[in-house]
Amino acid sequence: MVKDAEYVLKQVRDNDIKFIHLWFTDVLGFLKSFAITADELENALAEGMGFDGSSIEGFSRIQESDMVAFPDTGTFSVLPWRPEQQGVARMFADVRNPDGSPFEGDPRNVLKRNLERAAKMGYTFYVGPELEYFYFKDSDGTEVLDHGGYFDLTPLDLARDLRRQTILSLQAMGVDVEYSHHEVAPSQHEIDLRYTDALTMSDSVMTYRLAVKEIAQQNGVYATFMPKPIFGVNGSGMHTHQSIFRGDDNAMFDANDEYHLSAEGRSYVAGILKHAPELTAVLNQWVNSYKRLVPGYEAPVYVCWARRNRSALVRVPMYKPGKEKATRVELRSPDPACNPYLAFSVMLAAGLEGIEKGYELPAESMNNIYEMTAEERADCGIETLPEDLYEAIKLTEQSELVRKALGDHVFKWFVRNKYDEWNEYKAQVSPYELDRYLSIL
Amino acid sequence: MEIAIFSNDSPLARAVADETVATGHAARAVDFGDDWTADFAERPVGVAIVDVTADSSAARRVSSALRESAAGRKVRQIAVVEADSLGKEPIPPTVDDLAVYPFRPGELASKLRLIEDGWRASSVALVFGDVVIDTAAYEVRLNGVPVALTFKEQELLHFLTSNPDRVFSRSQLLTQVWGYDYFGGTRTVDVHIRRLRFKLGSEMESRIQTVRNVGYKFASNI
Repeated sequence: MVKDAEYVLKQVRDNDIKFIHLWFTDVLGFLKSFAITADELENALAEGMGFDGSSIEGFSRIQESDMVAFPDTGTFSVLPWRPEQQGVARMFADVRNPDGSPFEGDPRNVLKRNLERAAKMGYTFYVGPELEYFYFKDSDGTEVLDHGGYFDLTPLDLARDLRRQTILSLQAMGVDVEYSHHEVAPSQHEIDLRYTDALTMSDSVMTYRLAVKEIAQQNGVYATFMPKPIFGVNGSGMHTHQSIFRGDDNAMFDANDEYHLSAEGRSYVAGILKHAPELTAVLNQWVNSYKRLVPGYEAPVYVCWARRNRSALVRVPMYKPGKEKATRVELRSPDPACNPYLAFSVMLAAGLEGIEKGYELPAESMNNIYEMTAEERADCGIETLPEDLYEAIKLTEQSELVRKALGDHVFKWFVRNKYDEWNEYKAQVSPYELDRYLSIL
Repeated sequence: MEIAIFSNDSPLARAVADETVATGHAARAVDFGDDWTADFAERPVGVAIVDVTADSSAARRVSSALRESAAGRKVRQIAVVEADSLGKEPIPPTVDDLAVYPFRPGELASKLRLIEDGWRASSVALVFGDVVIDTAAYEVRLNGVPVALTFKEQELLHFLTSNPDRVFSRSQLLTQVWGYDYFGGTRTVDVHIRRLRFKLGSEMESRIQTVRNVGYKFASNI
């Protein structure tokens, strides 16, 4: 047996682990898990575990529902929120077809394909996402735990304890946390993960979302990554810092450029900007996502880039001398309810497209574009992100770039699923309409 | 420790088996023609005694097959030869030791005890202050308490400590520990180094050194 499998078996014995959860992700980004006993593990490591994929969102195919989950031994970790004795561990699994080939509907496999493309061009893709979320008293409403604001240090703050417990759990699972703080809205928080390669980071995002929810539940409250749970206050985003490296060197950095961006860095940003509208359905995949992407709440609406202006869609943080490794681009539109494997895949694909085709970086946006009139923006050639899921999915459906990045299986299923969601939504009669119309019409 | 005796049911083999049992170890008779691989994988043996006098070419075959198989690679081999045929029969070059029958009193017991003790001793490979790296048992202890390391952390630590005072670039470490088909970049190395330093305490923190603009090295002296 190979050494890493032996090591996992040893850890299971040493830690008195009775159950091992195999984790994978459906196309919409929900974490799926099935448990095997420690006795079955050796076999699972050698041959994978078969399961019926027909009821997993985005996995279903008519002829074939048998799939095999192959544990990724590098992701073995004990779940710190489960009992210490007779505990539970998890491993992420790659989903394969019965013949052993990677299953094209598995988001982890989709990301690996895109990372392979980057590797062929000589690049490693690093990401650092900042996921915001809300704590509420329960999942029935949006009653907040506190009325704190950005970076507020509130005494006797339950949420501060929750954050602390969450960070300790994440660290125990090998997820590195950079910092955490109270966000702008009441009861809104953010824990930032230290940047790493996109595959590890996607696994970490899945772990993070579960850890936040688990720890909240253990403390009798509810945590949500819903993009815009409360009207009138900031929604939750997942600003994603991205960089591409060649070996040890940041391929985006050039000391002599006025923005300290290399030709590759400039084209990467240009690629993100040019393709941003067609990526949006993947980065903001729910009806509710578009309630966040409105003016006035620090969420991006217009397609532009800037160094200082935080309302821009893409920010290139100012260079600090000696920190060339930190040269990066920050995409501010994604929300934390996306599927990270697919979101990182399409961002990367857009950036690489920019590099391959040698896109020119448009001019930096200097003014606050939110104060401009629609005409002024049109004069400057500033595009707008899609207004709602319907607009977004229409653009995505036409996108060769997204189709290639996601692969036909995921692409087709995703577009169909999102049209279904939109059609269901648009037929609803909302409280807004009743409030506004019932008494006057 | 269980001892396998490879022979063809010769009187010598039976005598050796009796003496083995008398030393307090379990003996398992294996015929030269038996397929022992599955059996060894299931019930590991510590020492294989190969009867050269009974059939020297069969002994040679078995001895090299043991060396080449995953199940038999770590098994210590002792060739046993009758005093009369000493120098007449070729000894397989792949054995670790030679014993001439009849044994002197206590000889077999001493040989087996040496092997057994050697196993225990060799499994504590490296000690650095309050940290013990037990490579055979895949375990690292800080002040006697096992430290939970991931497989790659363990591998990286093992690679660095077994090549002390040499500077490795991140790319070299990535290739050595993660292999060529890995998706993450050299950043992965930094992350693992940081976790190792964090988990292993201050002594190791100062031994695992960053060499600016080059990479990392493990200092054998601090």
